[in-house]
Amino acid sequence: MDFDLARIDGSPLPADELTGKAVLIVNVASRCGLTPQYEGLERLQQRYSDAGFTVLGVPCNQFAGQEPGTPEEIQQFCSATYGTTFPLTEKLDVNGRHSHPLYQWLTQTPDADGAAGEVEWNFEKFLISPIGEIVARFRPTVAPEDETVTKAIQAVLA
Amino acid sequence: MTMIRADRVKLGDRLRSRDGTEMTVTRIDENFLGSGMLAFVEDSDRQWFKMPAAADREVELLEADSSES
Repeated sequence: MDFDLARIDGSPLPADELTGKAVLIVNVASRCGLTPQYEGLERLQQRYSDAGFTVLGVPCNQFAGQEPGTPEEIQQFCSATYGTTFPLTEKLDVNGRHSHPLYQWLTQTPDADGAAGEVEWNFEKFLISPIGEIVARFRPTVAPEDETVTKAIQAVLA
Repeated sequence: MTMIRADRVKLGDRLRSRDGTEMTVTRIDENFLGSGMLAFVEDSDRQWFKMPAAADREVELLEADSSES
């Protein structure tokens, strides 16, 4: 997984910080009704980070404009409201002609029903293995601690 | 401000989302997230933007598509 990414504060996010880790990439939005998923995402981070896992949050404003804030506001919302410790990227487009190359790659992967293509809404999740392969895609309504997610994480960490 | 029921929106209509984003509808998806709601999508060179709405709710119409008239 070698893409140009920046952290929410604008500093580079070197690829080698993610290389060798299992990564759950999630597009997030602070004003979405699914924001309670931050709690489950943080619990995954706490539970599996020592085993070589991280959540990577990707703020995106393409879904009803539900991530309108500045980088500082987004970071503050996540850490103060939900106590998140996992990294966030800068705000990205995940769909459309100007989507980030990371998402052009991710969205080629089908979900459990065999449907690839556009990210459907905020909090869609892609699991990347430590060798950089996309191993699973979970749609927004699949909770972070759903058994299908935790089993997939455990499988790539085994 | 002109309001229109979501199920009356047509391709080419220009809408304003509650956050203020203006969009031209290029696609209408049904059963958004399995909820039965509609989702209006602009997929253009200008932007990709998605706005869901219950079919019986009103949305702000900025300009109706006139291509069929």
